[in-house]
Amino acid sequence: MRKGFIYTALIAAVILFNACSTAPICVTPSVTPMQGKFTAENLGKTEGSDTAVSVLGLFMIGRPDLDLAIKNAIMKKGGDTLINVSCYETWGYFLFVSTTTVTVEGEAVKFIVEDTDTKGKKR
Amino acid sequence: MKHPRFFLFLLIAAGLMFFSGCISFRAHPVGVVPSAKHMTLPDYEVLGEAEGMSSSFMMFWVFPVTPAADNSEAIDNAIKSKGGDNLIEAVFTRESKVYIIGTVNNIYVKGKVIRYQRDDRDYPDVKKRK
Repeated sequence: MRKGFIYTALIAAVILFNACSTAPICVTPSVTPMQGKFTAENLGKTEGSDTAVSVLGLFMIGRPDLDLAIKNAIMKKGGDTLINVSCYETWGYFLFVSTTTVTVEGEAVKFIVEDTDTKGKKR
Repeated sequence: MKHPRFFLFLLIAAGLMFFSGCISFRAHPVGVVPSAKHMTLPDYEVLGEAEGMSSSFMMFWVFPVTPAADNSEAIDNAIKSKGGDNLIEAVFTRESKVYIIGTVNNIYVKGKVIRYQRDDRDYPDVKKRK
């Protein structure tokens, strides 16, 4: 009877003290300057993320790295860069620990560099 | 009798201030931009990856002691570290460390430092003047 109560209380605590929230961070047309570059192939939508864990919501172990998330997303499709990029930050709370995840979404592309002069003509 | 107690209290307070570590540490990404500054020329060479930082300190979490952390200072630090002209694929992260004596706010920027490749063909007018 007492064990049953403890288990119920534990499950209730896990349900009650879990939470999640997401907020947008950034929107950008591309990660790399596309001046003088042309998209050779659109490899499709891709996503990358990086997570850091916090203890008691105070001490963060590591940093959620946006750069790593971008590299992960590009690597998944084997592209050169990302276009139509949007990023989100998601916080998850689980009793005594919380996680901060940064997620990058975009389209991976391969590009070709076209040699043009300042007037836009090919050399 | 009151004075030794007061002294002890001061000593404990000073000890807490000087020997305590970080009470809280949080970092969160701010954003990503293709280039930190306006791209004045389309041709460039990548000098390598670099990170720049700008920092500020608030005494007792309220009173600013140093100027506020600045994005452009962090960008300039990153560019100067490689001796380039601009920073591309710039990723910004904001971080705050809370101590008993105050808060440290840091802005980090990470990206690729580039140097513009200045070609005489880009400046036809300059050539004519010669």
